[in-house]
Amino acid sequence: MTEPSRGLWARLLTHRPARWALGVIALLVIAALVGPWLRTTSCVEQPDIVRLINAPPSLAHPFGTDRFSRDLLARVLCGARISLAVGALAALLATTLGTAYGLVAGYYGGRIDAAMMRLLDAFMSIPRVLLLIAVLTAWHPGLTGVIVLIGVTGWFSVSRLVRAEVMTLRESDFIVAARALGAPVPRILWRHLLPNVAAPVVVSATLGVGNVIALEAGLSYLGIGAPPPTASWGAIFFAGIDIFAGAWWGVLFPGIAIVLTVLAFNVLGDALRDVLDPRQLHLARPLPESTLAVVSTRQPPENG
Amino acid sequence: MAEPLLRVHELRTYFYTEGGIARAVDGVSFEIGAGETVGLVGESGSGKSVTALSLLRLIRPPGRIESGSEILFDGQNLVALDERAIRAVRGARISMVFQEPMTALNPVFTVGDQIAEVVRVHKGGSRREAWDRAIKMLETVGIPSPAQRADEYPHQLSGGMRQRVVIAMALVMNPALVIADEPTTALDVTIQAQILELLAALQRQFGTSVLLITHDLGVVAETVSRVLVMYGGEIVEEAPVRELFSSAHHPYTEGLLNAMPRVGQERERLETIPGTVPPPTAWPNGCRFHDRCPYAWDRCAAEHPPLYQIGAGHASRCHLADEPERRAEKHEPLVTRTSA
Amino acid sequence: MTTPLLSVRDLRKYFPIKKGVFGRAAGAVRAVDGVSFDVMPGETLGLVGESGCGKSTTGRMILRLIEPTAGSIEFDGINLVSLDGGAMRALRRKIQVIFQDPFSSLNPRMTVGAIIREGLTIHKLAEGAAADGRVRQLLDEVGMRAEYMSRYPHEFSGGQRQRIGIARALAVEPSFIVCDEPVSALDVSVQAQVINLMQDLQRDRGLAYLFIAHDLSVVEHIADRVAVMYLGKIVELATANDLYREPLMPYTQALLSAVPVPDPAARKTRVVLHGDVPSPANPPSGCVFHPRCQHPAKDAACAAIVPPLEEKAPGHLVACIKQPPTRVEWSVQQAAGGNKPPERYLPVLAGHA
Repeated sequence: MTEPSRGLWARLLTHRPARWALGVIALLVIAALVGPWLRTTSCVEQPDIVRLINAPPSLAHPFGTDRFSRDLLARVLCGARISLAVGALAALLATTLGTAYGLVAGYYGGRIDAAMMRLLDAFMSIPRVLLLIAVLTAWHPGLTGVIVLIGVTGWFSVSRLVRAEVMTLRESDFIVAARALGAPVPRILWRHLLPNVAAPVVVSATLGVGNVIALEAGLSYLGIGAPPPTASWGAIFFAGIDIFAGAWWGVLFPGIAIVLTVLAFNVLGDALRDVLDPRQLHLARPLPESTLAVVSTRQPPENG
Repeated sequence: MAEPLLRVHELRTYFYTEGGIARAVDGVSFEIGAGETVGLVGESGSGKSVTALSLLRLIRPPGRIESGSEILFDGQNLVALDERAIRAVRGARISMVFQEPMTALNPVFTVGDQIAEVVRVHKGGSRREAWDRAIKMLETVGIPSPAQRADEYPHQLSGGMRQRVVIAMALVMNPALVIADEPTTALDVTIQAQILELLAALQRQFGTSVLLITHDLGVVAETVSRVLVMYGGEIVEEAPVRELFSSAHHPYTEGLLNAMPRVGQERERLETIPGTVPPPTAWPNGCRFHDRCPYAWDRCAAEHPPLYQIGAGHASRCHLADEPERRAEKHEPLVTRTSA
Repeated sequence: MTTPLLSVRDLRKYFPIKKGVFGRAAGAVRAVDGVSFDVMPGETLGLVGESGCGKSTTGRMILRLIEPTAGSIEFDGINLVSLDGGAMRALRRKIQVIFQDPFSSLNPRMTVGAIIREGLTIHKLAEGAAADGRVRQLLDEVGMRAEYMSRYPHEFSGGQRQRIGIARALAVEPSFIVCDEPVSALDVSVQAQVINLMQDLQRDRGLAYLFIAHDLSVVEHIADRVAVMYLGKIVELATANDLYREPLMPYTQALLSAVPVPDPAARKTRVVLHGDVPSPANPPSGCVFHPRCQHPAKDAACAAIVPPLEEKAPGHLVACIKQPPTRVEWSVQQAAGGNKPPERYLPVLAGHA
C-alpha cells in the first residue's frame, strides 16, 4: 500500500452496508446511462394514446403506463438520469462552494473569519426550502437553473465542517513548514489543506447527493422542479398521485426509486465517515506501543 | 533467598494484525523482589510498554497474552485470573503510573474525587473516609494546600502537580508493586528531578517495589538497583545498575551507552547504532540484533542466543558470552554493508 | 571581527489576555520579554529552557511565523521585521526550519519527493528532471535512498522522517536553520544518527543553527554557544564549555544538576527547585527567577531589581545581581531593600568533579 487511499477501498468493501450501497448506486448509474437505449419505447413517446392509458404492469410494460400512455419503466430510467444528474451536480456545486468558503475562513481566522461566519449565519437563517419555492415559482428556470439554485443554497454546513477541520490543521507543523518555505496562501490551501480535509468533504458530498435527490423530488412534487415532459422521479410521482387510487404503479415505482437511491447514498456516506477515520488519514502516526490497538477485523485464534 | 514478589516467566504478547503477527513481547522472564526498584529500559519497538500493560492484563484485542505465559504475583498466576479477580489486583495490589498525566486523569472530575474513587472501588467505606484519605495522599506526595487542591480539576494544575496526583492515585491503596511507564518523560527536567526524588522517598516510606520503564539511561542510573534491557521483544541484558554502566556486556547496551551525549564528556561525534529497529512482525533470524551489531559473526545470524549468565545477577543474550575472544574483531555491521 | 549572520535585539512577544464578554485586554502573557543575541555564520547557538520559557516563540519570530510585539531582527544586515511579503518570501530561502515532531511535520498526502521538491518549485530554482535530480542528491545527502522519493511519509520511522524534513529545509540552500527541538521526539540511538548528520551538514555547507532544545546534554554536544532562557528572558549566555563547567546563573546550576547522569557512581549534588514555574502571564517582580532561587545571598533586592544581562567573565553573560562582578552597585541594592552583598556561588555539580 503506497497511497493512503488504496487501503480505503479495501476497508470500504469489507463494510457490508457499504457494499450494498455501492451496488445499488452502480446499478442506478448503469441504468441511467444505458437504460433508455434498452427500452425500445422512449420516455416521451406515446405509442397508443387510447389503449395504453393507465395500463397495469405487463410483459410489454413492466412498470405499466401513465395517463399519457407513456411507458413507466422508460420514464423511470429517464428520470434516473435527471435525478442523478441533479443530485451529483448540485452536490458538487454546493461542496465546492462550501469547501472554498470554509478553507478561507478557517485559514485566516481572526476578523476575516468572524465576518465570514456572521455572513454565513445570515445565509443560514433563511429557510432553504421556502427560499427555493419562492424563487422557483417566480422564475421557472430550466433544469440548469434548478441545479444551480439547489447548489447555491446548500453549501452552508459543508463550510462549517471544513472550517473546523482547517482550524485544527492550520497549526500542524507541515502547514507551518509550508509557510516557512514561502508558499503563498493559495498554494497552502490547495496543496496542503484541501487534500487533508478531504474526508469530511467527501462524506458531506455523498450525503449531499441523497439530500438533493430527495429535495428535488419534493420540488417536482410541488410542480416547480425539473420541467415537463422530461421529468424526474418527483415529477413522475406527482403525476402518479392523481391516479393513485386506480393505478398504484404510477406512484410505487418512482417512489421506490427515490427511496432506494437516497438510502443508498446515505448509507454510503455513513460508511465513508466510518472508514475515513481521521486517525487513519490525517497524521498516519504509528500508534505507540502502549496503545497498539491496530484496526483489524481478524480475531486472534482461540487458545489451543 | 526470599520469594520474589513478582515472577514473570516466558511472557508472550502477540498482536494479530492485518500486517501479520506482531510479537511485541516474545519470551520475557524476570523477577522483582519486595521493596526493589527495577528498571526496564528500551527504545520504541522494544516491547517494554507492552510488557507493562501485559502485567496488568491491559492488553486488548487484537493483542493477546499467549498461553504458556506466567505472571506469578503473590502466589497467583495473573494470566489465569478472571476479570473480577484481576480488577481487584489493579490499583490495589499492583498499580500503574502512566506517561501523560493529562490523559491519565479524567478532565471532568476533581483530583480529590479521582483519588477517592480508587479508595471506594477497592475498599468501600464512606465518601468522607475516602475523601480524607485522598487529601492525606495529596499531602504525602508533596502538594501544598492539599485540601484546596483536592477540589481542583486537572487542567488547573501544572504538569508536575498532575503527575503527583497520578502517583497519589497509584499509591493510595498501598500496593505492593507500582509500574511506572515513562513517568517523567513528558515533564521538564527540573520537575522530573522532583518527581524522581518523590518516587524514591515514597518507595522508602511505603516499601513498595517499583518497575520503572524508561528509555532514559540517566533516569535509570539514579533510581533503580537493577536494570533489564529490552530489544526485539526480549530481554537482552540484565544486571545490577552499577555493573550495567561500568561493564555492559551486550553490544546493544554498549551502543546505547555510547550514543548518549553526556554533559562534560568531550566528543566530536556520537557513536551511533546503524540501521533501525526491526518491526515486531518480522524479527530477524538468530540474534535479533545481529544485523546492527559490530561484533556479529555467522553463528549470530543462525543461532538465537539464550540468556547467558556472566556474573552474579548479570546475564546477557549474546554469543560473546560463549566466545569472548570475538569481541576483538569489531567490524562494520551487516546493515551498513548491505544498504545503498 | 566577523559580522553576525543573525542579530536579535530586545525581542518581545506579548500575547494579550482577553477577559469578559467584550474581550477587553486584561494583561498579557509575556512569552518573550526582551531577548538579545547574535549568531555568527557557521555557528550553532543553543537555546535552552523548560516549557513556557519562550524559546520556541523566539524561534518562530525569527522565522516571522509570528510577528514580534517589539524589538529588531537583523539577518545579513536586513531588518526582517519591516519586510513586506514578497521580500520576506525571497529571504525565506536563507532561513529555514526543522521541526520537533516527525509525525506532524510532513504532509501525509504528499510523496517524499514532492515534499522535498516544494521549495524548489516555490522559489523557481529547478523544475522537471532537474528538480528530480536535486531531490535525489538531497536524499543521498541525508542518508536515504533515492527510490524513497515516491513513497509516503507514513511508511517511514521517526528518524527517517526527520531526515526528510532536513532534506526539505536544505533544498532551498539556506544559510541559517532554526532547529526547534529536532531530536527530542527520537530514541537515543536514532537521536545520535540525526545529530551526527546535522553536524556533518553544518561542516559541509557552512550552516548556522539556532538549536532550540530542553535536553541539555544534546545541546552541550552540538552547540558552540548556549543561551539559557527562563520566563521569556535570557538569563545566561556563554560558550558551551564555559556554561557547563562554570554555570554562574543559579537557574542554570539547578537545570544542570537536574539532568540525570548515566553514571550510578557519580556523586550527586542536586539543586532541587521547589514549586512550579510561574505563569508567564504573571511573572515575578525584579528577577523572574528569585522565588525559586537558591543563591545564598538572595534577598529583597532580588525581588525589586531586574538584573541586567552582563558580562561576568570573557564572553560569559549572566543576569544575576548577586554573582560578582556586577554593575548594580551594592548601594543600589541596599536602597532596594537588599541586606546580603553579592558573593560567588558555584555548587559542585555531578559529573563536574
